[in-house]
Amino acid sequence: MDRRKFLHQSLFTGFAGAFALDRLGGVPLFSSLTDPRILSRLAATDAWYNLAMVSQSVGHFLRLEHSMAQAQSSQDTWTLVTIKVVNHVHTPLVFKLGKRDGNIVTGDNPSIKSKSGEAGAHMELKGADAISDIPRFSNLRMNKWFADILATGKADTDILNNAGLQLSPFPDESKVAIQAALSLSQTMSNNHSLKAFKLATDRSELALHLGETGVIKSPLGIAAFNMGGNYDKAEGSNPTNVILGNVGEQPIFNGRPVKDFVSIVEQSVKAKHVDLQTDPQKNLTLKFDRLIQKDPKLRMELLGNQQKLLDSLVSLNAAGQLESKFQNINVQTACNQANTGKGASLEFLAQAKFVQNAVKIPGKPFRNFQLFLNINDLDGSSLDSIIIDTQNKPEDVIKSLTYIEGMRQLALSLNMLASTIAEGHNLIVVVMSEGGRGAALNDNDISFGFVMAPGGAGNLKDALYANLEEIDKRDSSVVKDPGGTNVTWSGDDLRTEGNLKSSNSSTRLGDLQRGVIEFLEEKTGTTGSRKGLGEFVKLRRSA
Amino acid sequence: MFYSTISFLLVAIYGSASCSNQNSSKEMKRRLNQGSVSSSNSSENANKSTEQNSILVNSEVSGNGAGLQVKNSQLLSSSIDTCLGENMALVKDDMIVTGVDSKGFLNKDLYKVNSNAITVAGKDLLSKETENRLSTNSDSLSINYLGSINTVADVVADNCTPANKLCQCDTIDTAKQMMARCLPSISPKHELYESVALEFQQACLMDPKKAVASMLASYAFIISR
Repeated sequence: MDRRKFLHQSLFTGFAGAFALDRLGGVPLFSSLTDPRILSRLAATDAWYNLAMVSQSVGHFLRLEHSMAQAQSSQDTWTLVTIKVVNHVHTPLVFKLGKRDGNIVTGDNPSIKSKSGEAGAHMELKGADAISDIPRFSNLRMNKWFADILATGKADTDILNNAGLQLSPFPDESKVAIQAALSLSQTMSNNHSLKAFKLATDRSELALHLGETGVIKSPLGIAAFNMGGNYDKAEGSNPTNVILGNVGEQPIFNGRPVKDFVSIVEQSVKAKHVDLQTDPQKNLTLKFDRLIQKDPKLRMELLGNQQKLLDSLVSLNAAGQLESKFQNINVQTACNQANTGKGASLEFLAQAKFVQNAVKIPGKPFRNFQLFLNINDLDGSSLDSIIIDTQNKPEDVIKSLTYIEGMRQLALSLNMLASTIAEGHNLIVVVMSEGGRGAALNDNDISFGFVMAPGGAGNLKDALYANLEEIDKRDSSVVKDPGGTNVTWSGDDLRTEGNLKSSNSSTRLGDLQRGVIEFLEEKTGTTGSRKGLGEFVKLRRSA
Repeated sequence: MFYSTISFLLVAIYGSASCSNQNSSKEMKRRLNQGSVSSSNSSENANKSTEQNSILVNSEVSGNGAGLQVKNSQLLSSSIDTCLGENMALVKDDMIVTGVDSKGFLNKDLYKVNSNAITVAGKDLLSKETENRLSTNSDSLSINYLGSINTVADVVADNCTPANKLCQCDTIDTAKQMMARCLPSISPKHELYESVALEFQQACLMDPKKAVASMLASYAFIISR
């Protein structure tokens, strides 16, 4: 029986029944949420479904708030944001590899201009074929186009900059560190399948694992999103974003559009008819209550908390509204989205905005987010293409962004989340893809990733994980084809499970994710969640 | 006056058989059907019944409501039958949230058309199978109970239509009649009774569903005996 059914079934068993089911391995109810044993288990479930449960009873919200306060009082208030990018990523669209001489980088690889179709001139003009002139980001080998968007929060398209996004200059390294990892092999060999995001063949995804092991304690569970309808899943089983568990591609629950979350949140805090006015002089139910009790404190508590949560949660509406916005179509900037006839939508950025607003809710009911960036499966087409191949019929349910727009929005989302980190939130962001795109924009295996988290003493510092010698050559295989070339990283960042330097010649996406686990274990004072998972990347810390 | 008599009978029955509220409700309805309860009482009888009612009621209600047991799901169901008619807790399709712009308020995964809201919400009410009283009196009402009552009250009120005379409360008489029917333990001599009745009637004029739901969600409704 899956978790969803189990949760549903347990709803009807009452308080005692919930504990009985808990012992049997079922997911507990909100009615038992105040039990501290329950929190870590609930943290690994579907936030949307939990909200649906809450929506049945305003009283559940009070219990939820109690549990939030309980969790808040502990030190383990870290929040995880995983960003899954499909269909593959193309390293040269973000990084400039090759022989470096000052700010000039030369490599034997096709230019981004030549691969960008009608957007080629624009991409060249914006510096996609040059290394960033911002020292911090040039050290990470980012190209100027991507780094400028990341650094300034200003996109190279006009409409996007007026969309009500919370964008600002990228914070100093002492506040926010960003680490880039190149040459990441697939954890499991496949082509366009979500199982590539799992920690290991027989393990779940990072978000679920950290929830289940109690490293990330999210009172409402995991807020997993979806965008762009279906993605071109090819060898995968699930056409939309799902959270995968230990077994193959068996989904634990679905990612959903932002608007679904906003809708259920609104539903959760609004009764239909019963008077929820907090003014005691106006509330009719309270007046009836006073026929029995002169001072119905419980009712007042319920009304007060209801209003408090309502005030907080309605801020999420902005994210929901953002999701339905489209930019003006502009093929010269590749501002385009498949099967919409419009410019690129802001669905993905709406997810980032949801995170920005949700982490500010008192008590942090959401602490585990999974964002989903759906970019087109090029299969050799240019980086501005919205042509859909026939892997996933019907093709018109796939509303993917162009590759260029996808990376543009990725940079903007990182800028948004960086500002949230700089505000003092313990947020760690992990960007990963299920594979890489070869020099001919064909499907291939080797991707890149990012980790972004608070900087400063004891936290992370900027880092580039790569084979530094090979990426600094004009004609090395990794420079020519970073999406198809597996090279060993420089240094000793890849460690064995016992924290010794690994002798493994390749680093897998799962290794990077396990590095995030190791970092979070340290920060939250937890142990044991890496046991049996194998190698990991020792994320570099600031002294 | 008719309803005052019903209130009196209800309280009298509750008083004599405190552990069988549902039976008392059914008994009352049976007697109504058999015509053993007059609907044309004289003013004298009405006054007498009201006075007896208030005495009985006042003997039950303490100053802070302590000791008054809340309704379990079975009692809740029969009380709603008496108060507003039968089948008022049934879920209708437009109550279920079907999409982002839906006007519904019930989750589609939990509530199905024609299901009974009391049965579904019963997990947080008092179990009729075990009579396991999570809330024993109005002082120790649980948050879950209050929350679930809100949901039940929303469903029942949503089912209230002008065609149902038992849902009428827009005059002071109909408002008081509904209070007498639905809140039989509350004495009309309670110091706040008149003012609450007036505000109830005013609320009914503006939004009858909101008024009815708010009354059903109150402590005054959820206590029994």
